[in-house]
Amino acid sequence: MSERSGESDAALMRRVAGGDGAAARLVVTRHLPQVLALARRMLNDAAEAEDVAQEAMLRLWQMAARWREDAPIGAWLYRVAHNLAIDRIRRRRPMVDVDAAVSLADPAPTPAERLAERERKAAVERAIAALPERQRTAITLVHTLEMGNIEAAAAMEISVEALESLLSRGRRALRAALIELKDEAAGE
Amino acid sequence: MTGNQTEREALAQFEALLGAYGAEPRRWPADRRAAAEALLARSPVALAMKAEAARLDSLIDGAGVEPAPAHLVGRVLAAAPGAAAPKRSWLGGLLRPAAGLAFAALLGLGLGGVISPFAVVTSDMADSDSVMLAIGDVPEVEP
Repeated sequence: MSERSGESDAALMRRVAGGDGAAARLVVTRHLPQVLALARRMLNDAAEAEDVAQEAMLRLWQMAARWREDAPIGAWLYRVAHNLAIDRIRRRRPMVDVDAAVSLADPAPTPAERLAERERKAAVERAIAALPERQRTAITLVHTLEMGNIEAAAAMEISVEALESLLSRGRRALRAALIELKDEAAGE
Repeated sequence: MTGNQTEREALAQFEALLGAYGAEPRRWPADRRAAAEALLARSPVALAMKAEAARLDSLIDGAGVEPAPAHLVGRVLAAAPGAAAPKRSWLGGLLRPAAGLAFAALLGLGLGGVISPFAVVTSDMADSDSVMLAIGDVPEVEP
């Protein structure tokens, strides 16, 4: 169900299929940033992530006329983006330059009062980027995209138990990597 | 099983829940949420565990989703159904064929005026290239 208007995803997709530009813009506003975030987290590469996000959205447009009444747009999109990113990960070389990926996402120099916050975010992104791919994906689906456990497990094509294991290991690794930042957060 | 054992098991399960999903009850699986909230209501230890998990959440949740760049939004919207075919007004629909016929007639007259002088002045310019040059700037006419 659509959050703001009460319009169901199926109704929204019917409008998209009918060429309603406002409906398409609504879908893009609501889902493209999340799809991009997932792809970026999985691939650690801004340009590749954009390609994946674009491809996922184009596949959504192609499906618009045949959209199932009960299908949630977000879950479908994240699943497609996840599979597209997995395909790319399998095709490329095993080593990924994490620092380069983070620096691509890192914006230009900023005023001093915003620097600390940016550095903190960059440190978190580096820690997440350093996780194994499946832990990173599980963390992103649940903590960034706010998917429920059943949806997230379905998107990754794993069981809920396997998802919980990935989340636990991912959070444990992040806790260890971010211990200093976590202490700062405790002091706020 | 003693009360203490039960409480320890409940805390262990709660720790596993926090370990996977963090401190936000909205992320907890529905079938475990009620038991976790009941534990929180009676156990200061559980509250402390939740507060610890929340500190990690505050870091993870603050990162990730940013607005998509404008060029990507533009590319995606340009590929949306109907994006390439702008809607026509009913008046435009009626006038368009008539305008096309009128333009074709004018084009025929114009070409006659443009091409024939070239044909007279220099024979080598009256080939197919010069015709293409003459009509090269003609706007596309829809049927």
